Amino acid sequence: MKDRGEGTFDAVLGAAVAAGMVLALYMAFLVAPRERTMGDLQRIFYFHVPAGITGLTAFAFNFVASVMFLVRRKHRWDALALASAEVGVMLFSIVLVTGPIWAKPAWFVWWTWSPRLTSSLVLWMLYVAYLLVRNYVSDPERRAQMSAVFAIVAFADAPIVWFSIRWWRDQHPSPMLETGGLSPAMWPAFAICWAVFQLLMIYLVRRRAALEGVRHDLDELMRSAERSA
Amino acid sequence: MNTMAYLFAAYVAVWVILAIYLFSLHARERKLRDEVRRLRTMLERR
Amino acid sequence: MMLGKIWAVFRKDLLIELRTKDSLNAMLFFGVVVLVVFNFALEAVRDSIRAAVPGVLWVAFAFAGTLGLNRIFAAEKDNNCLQGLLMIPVDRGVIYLGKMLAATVFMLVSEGVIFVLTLVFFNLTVWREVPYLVLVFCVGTVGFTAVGTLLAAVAANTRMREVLLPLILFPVVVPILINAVEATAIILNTVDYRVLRQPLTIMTVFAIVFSTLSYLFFEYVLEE
Repeated sequence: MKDRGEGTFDAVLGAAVAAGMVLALYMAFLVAPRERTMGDLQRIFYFHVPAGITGLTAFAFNFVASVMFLVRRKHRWDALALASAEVGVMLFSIVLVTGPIWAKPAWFVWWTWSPRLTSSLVLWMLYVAYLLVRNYVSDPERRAQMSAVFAIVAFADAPIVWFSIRWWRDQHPSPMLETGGLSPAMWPAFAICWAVFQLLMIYLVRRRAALEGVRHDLDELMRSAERSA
Repeated sequence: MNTMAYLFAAYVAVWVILAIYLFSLHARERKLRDEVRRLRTMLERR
Repeated sequence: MMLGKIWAVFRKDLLIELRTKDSLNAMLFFGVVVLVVFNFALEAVRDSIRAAVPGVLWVAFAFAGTLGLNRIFAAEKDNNCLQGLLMIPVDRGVIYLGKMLAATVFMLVSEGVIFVLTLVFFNLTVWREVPYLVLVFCVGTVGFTAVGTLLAAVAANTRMREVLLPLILFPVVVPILINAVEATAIILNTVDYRVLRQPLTIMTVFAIVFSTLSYLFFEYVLEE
């Protein structure tokens, strides 16, 4: 299992994340100014967008970890790849649920095929597919290899997906736009929420990767025990 | 539903999703610890 | 020399198919099924159905293409042919190119038949649109099979290969589907074809990026 030092680090990180979440809530609700057109509804933004950015970071981690696994063949890279994909999917789930909740009162529809929301959906599907590949390969070595290749395909695909959807939307424009603008007064709250989400992501990825590491070691132990028995 | 209700729903959704993930992590860690304990007793008996 | 090896792999899959015609029959029939189902589904918009044709076409193409991809690797698995194939001292990328070529040819043949049937079922006439349609069909198909061949090999490693392939392939080929449908719509329903440059560029980039990636990584996904 984890050694003493690592355990303490993760405990401290966990506490920092918990405190950070409280701070983030405070910033989003009490410090950030009320937006002119949408009112308080806009405050969803402070969790919706950081979740998206952090999810993208997680997927970037997944890409790097997958490449490193193919190069170095060390199991901890595979564990990191799995962990970052899982956490990324979770974060994008937050994006996909909060998006419609924001859209309904703002545009009177649950779903808008806006570039950001549509791309988020496809990206979410890509990494769910990654998790599916992992789920259905039985042999651990091959599982790591197959999913690493798929991870590279998915990551290379992501920008092309984004461009395609954006161009498609330009062909069929709709009045429902994403709100992008951030007034300077909103930046402190946004920055803090973003930082807290990044910390949260790192904490969750570490914990999930550690779990996977132990799982892997245990399976190896079981297999060598069966072989010697 | 007024604006505040939607805002509330969104934040509840964030918490619920996070909570589900944290809970599933915790459950998996506990299952792993149980398995390690079982393995240890099995080896001690041998 | 490498071209000869690619041709050999391609020829093998082609010959197997010509002898049994299993894949092509299934692909064509599935395409027909999709067309008929869409005709029922789109009854409510019968008057403006020409607008829906691009989407219907590419859904039919994608499903038929997935069937074909499945078969290309399923056949190997069933008779342990893959072991034999891997014993030949040939670069794994060459195997990829050969299989991709076979998948492309099968898919293009299916597309041709499905397209003709679509003209019949939906009462369309096309004349000057044909060369542009052929171009879009070809580029789109190559993009589809470029990544499809790699992912079919990945799926062949799993317990649920036929079910898994569409699940992992369709999200990845979203750019092809979006751009191919748009391009087909532009050709069929508008007069200004200059806009075609954009979707064709994206599809070509997609095809180049993914055939390169697949060529490089194919050895990692072939089963031992």
